[in-house]
This record gives sequence, C-alpha cells and structure tokens, in this order.
Amino acid sequence: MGVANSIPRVALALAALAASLCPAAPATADDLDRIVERGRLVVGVKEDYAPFGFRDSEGALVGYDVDVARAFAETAGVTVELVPVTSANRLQKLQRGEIDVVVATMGDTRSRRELVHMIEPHYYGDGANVLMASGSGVSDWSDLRGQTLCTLQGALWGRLAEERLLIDTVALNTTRETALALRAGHCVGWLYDEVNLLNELASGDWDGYEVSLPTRFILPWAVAIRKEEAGGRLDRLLGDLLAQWHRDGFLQDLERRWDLPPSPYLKRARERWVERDGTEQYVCRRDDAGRWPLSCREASLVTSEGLTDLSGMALLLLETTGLDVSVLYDPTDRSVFLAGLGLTAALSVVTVVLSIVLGILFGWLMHRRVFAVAPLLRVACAGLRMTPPLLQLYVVFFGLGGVVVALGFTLDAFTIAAIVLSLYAAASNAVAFHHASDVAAGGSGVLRFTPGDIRKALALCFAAVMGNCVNIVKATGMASTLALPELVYASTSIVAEKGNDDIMMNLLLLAYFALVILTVRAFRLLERRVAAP
Amino acid sequence: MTVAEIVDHLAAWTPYLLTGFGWNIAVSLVAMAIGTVTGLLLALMRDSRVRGVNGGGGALTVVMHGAPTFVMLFYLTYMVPEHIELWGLNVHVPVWLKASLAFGIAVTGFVSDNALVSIRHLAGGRILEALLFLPSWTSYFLIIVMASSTASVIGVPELVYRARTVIGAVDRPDFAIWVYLYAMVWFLAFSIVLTAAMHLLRGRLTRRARTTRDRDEAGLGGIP
Repeated sequence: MGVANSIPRVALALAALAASLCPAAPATADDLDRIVERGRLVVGVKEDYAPFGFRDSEGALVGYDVDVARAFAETAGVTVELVPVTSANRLQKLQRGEIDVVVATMGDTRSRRELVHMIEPHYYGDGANVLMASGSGVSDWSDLRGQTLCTLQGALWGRLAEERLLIDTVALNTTRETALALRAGHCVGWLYDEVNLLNELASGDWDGYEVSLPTRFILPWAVAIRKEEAGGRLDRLLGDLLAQWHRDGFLQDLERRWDLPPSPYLKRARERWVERDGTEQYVCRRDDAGRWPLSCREASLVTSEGLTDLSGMALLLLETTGLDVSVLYDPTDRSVFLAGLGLTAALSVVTVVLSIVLGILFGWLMHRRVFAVAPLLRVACAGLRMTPPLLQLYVVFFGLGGVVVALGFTLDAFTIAAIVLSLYAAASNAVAFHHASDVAAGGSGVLRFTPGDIRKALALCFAAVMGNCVNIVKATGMASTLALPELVYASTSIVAEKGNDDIMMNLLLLAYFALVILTVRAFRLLERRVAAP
Repeated sequence: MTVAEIVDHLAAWTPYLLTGFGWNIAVSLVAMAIGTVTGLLLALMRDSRVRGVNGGGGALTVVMHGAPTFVMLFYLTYMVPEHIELWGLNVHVPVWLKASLAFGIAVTGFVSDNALVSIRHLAGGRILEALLFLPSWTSYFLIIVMASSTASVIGVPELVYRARTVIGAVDRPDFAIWVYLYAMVWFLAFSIVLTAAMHLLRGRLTRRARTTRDRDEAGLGGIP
C-alpha cells in the first residue's frame, strides 16, 4: 500500500487531528480519544467480497476497503486491527463497540441510517446496468419496458426494475445460470451490479455484448461509525479525509490498484469535490456548523435534521409519512421535473399554433378546390387521421430521420415531435375549417383568404378546433417515446431513481390537468376575439 | 435491402404482427365496453332532476375529458398493483386491462356527452335521431384503436410493440421504416373499411330520420 508516499495527506490528517485535540475539546472522552489512547483503530471489513475485502493467498485481509481502513489508521498515527464482518453482523458489532469503524461494502440507505452514522462523503458507489447483445437497438432504460431481463435471485435490482421501470425479470439461482439464460435468449439482457458486469465483459467471454446504458439505482457505499459519534471529532476527521481522497484521486488510485473498472460514481464524486467557487475555495466545504453543503451530499439520503426550508419540510414529510416529494428537496429531481414541464409547455404552444395555422391554410385550399392541391390535401388529411400518431412519430424519427441526416441536416426529437404532432392535429383542424368555410360561404360562394373571411369560418368551427388542440396538448407525452425529456419522461425517470411513483404520477397528472385548463382558458380568450365583429 | 427481401421479411412476420393488431382491437373493444357503461351512468346522472346528482355527473364528465390517455397509461400502470385482493380473492390485473381502463376514461367522457343527446331524443320519441349515437360511437372506436398503439409503451404486445420486436429480430437498420409503414397500412385499412361502413349506416339513419340535424362531432379529432 503506497500510503508512505502520500505525505500531504498525512500532514492534513495530522493537522486535523491536532485541531481536534486542542484544549477546546469536550471534557467527555469520545471514540477518537479511546482510539488514540489505545493506539489502535479497529475496523470491520469483509473477508469474502473481492476485490473490496477478501483474503490473499497468505490468508491476510486485503482489498479496496482494507486499503481505505489502513489509510485511516496510518494518517491518524495509530495501528489498524482488522475484524472480519458480514453483512448480517457489521452493524451490531459497531453498535456494541466491538469495532470503531465499518468499511465493508455497505450501501448507504435511510433504514441503516437509523442504526449507525454514515460518514459523508461516501467512499465508493455502484449501481445497476445491463449486459446485452450489441446492436440490440436499446439505448435507454425506457426501451426495455415490457421486455424481460435476467437477474440473480435476491439481488435488489430485480424488484426495482419491475416496480420502477416496468421491466419484467426472471430470477436465476447462480451467476452461471444467469449467463446461460442470457445466451440462450431467455431474456434480452442481464441486470446486475455494474462493477460485476464490467468485470464479466473484461473476461473476454462476451464477444458481441456490451454494457452501455446509463447507470441506474446508484447506491453510494459509506464508512460507518456509531450513531452517538455523529457530528463528533471522529466523524469530522473521517469525513475530511474522504473529501481529501476524492480531491487528490487517492480513491481512484485504489480502484486502479484493485483492477476495478472505472466507476462512474467515483468520477462524478471527484468532479464534485474538486470544484472551486469564485474565491478559489472548494464549493464543497464545511459550513460553520461543520455540515457539507446540501448540493455536495447524496440528495436521496439527506435527512431533515437541521434543515428549516422547503426541502427540510419535504424531508420531514418523507421521514414521518413516507411520502417522497423529491422534487422539493432534491435539486436534480427538481431541475429534471421543471425542465420537463418547460419542454411540454413549449411543445404544446408550438404544436397548437402550428396546427391552427396549417389547419386554416389546408382547410382554405380544400375549400377553394385548388387544382391538384385540394385532392392531395384531402387524401393526406385522411391518411394522417387514420393512422396512429405514435407510428407517424416513429416513421419520421427512425425512417425519414436517416434521410434527413444524409442530406446534411439533423432534426432533434423536439422538432420531429412538433412537426408530426402539429401536422396530425392540423389534419383534423383542416377538415373542420374546410366544412366551416363551405357553410360560411353559403351555397356557391367562396371565402377569400382575408382576416375577415377566415374569422367568419373559424367562428363556426371554433369548438372543433379547440377540441383538436386540447387533444394534441394531451398527446404531447408521446414525444417521450423519442427520448425527449418532457414531463412524462422526466416523471418516469424520477420514479426510476426514487421509487416515489405515488407522488410523481399524481404530480404528472396534476401538471397535465393544469395544462389542459390553461389551454381551454386561452381558447376562451381567443374565442371572444374571433366572435367579435 | 432489396424490395424482395423486405417483402419476404414482412410476409414472414405478418401472422405475428396481425396477432398484435388483434390486441389493438381487443384492448379498444374492452375500453369501449367499460367506457360505454360508465359513460351511460354519467349521462343518466346528468339527465337527473336532482341537482347534486346532475352536477356530479357533469363534473365527473369534465374530469374524464381532461385526463390524457397517454399519461393515464403510466398512471394506472404504476398506481394499480398487479394483484388486487377482492373479496378474499387474489385478482391479477394484466397490463392490457390497465391500458383498456386508461382509454376507457376517454370513452366515458365521450359517451357521457353523446348518450345524453340520445337520451333526450328518446324522451322526445325521436328514435332514429337517438340511434345516430351508433355511428358516432363507431367513429370514437376508431379513435381508440389509433390510441391503442400507445399501449406499447407500457408493454402491451400489440402491433406497434411487435413491430419493435420484429425490428430487433431482423436487425437491419434500414428495415425499421418498412415495418412501421407496414403497421400503418393495417391501421389505415381497418379505418377505411370501418369508416365506409359507418357512413353507410349514418346515411341510412339520417335519410330515414328526415332531418338535416346531424350530430356535432366537434373535437373528435386526435388521440384524447
């Protein structure tokens, strides 16, 4: 272990230690006093979880977690005593005082936080991913909805995928069986810990397979101490060390040392912890009360303690009732949801305006029976009305999209959705406007393309046009199938991470009701204008 | 891909795709059945002289009109558990039924409005005018069949869902558009046949009813 060469780290830790041992220290002895007094840090680690905590050929405990434990002790100037623990007994051993610290592949969860204190920042993190055949056309988790994935029995991911991502799973007994089931085509992919899948891929047995989805269900791993030590000097010391190790890349060095594939979690954590503000200070630094800023913590694990604003209230609601209004306390969820709302609103406005303008134009051309154009439009309108808009989206996105790319343009999902949906609604508007024009013009007369004449016809078909437009606003969610991060897409991805489907689905529905009401309001205002002489 | 290859692939997959289209029709028919019953109930409520009942029927109809079916698909999929305890029985709620329920909500709103018109015609003894409910109902059925393609997003194995499966199985990048266009043709053919039949029915009814007053089909355009 190359701790000896990390002098700055030692210096920092000793400084922290010295600071914490200064005369102002509390009179009662805490865990740090006891550790320093006995000259030994007792750490619980795994002995059966390579490469994090396992026994080498000589029977010694080694691994990523073990190196973290050793670095804690070394920088604190004490020796380390490693105690093998299991997932079942690590928390109890800590609570009983048999060990001082747990570094044992432990995922940080709200329920575990009731028993022990989790040090922030976290020292590792892993999530779920899918191993599947290359070129399967799956580029997003939502593409897997309704498909079947193989999982290992007892793994957390299976249940999460079913409940939050609406993916079917078949659970197999062993890793080997899972691999065989995937090769035999019993499922489209293997859902498992990302680290393990990347290891499989690196083994060379999986030619033609890939792990390419964005990591889901990221669970950060935490170092834990006794709950009574929360906010104490040991908490602060370990937290400062971990922050430092994110900044100087020590944790990523360890990752390389143990041949772990580069973890997206560590990469992101490092970016977060090295970021500096305008005064060249770290953005993630402790406040006067010793707390890290909210934006530097894992939002899904933050507790309401010490928070008095809206996010504190939302967290209190979560802790007391289980209702998870994550858009109120998690900045990521909030921005995802608001961006979705903005996109949906923008798509609605563009689509409604375009569908009315095109509807009037097409309807008038049909009314005037313009040579060749009118019959063509009539067929086109019928065709648009008699095929599902979802298929129209797919045809343009997957089919014409390629043609357009070949010509040198690119059309993004928003543009495609706006064009397809507004043409779809315009077809119905055109038919309504056509009939209204015929009626408004009387027996054999014709309407001119002037504001006055258009208004006359529009007044007659106003209800129909409004109905069509309200329906197209309600249908904007279809753009989510093109992976456009509008409201439906945003809501389902928040559900996927937080599992708060009850809150998010109601919020989604409410947002759409509000949109529909606003649309109707806007049309009522417009109606007065149109009806006015 | 050559034309012959495309035709070969499409022909080979046609039975599989058509089974999917059967799902579209089945899901839509169940939605129409559910929505017609609940919509009739709402229409009867609105026809009532009791103020509370009358207003309740109206308010519920407004809610049914406001709910977007695409969003309701997700809403029901997440909110309705897969198994429900009913009178001590463990009832399985399949995903296609959730889709039918989602579309059934839109049907309820439609039937509530149109059945009310028919109920008033019936009360006035204008039986043929009341029967104009049928062609309107058929138009709406077509709209629901179009909407049923969106059930693919929650995993109902209907035509669009199967089209995606076929694209995955054939695994040729330029094949996708042909499968989608082919799926469109089925929807189009179904619509043309049903629309023609409906026009025939509507023509007969209006001629016999000797009234120029046709039913207002305002806002019948588009997926609700």
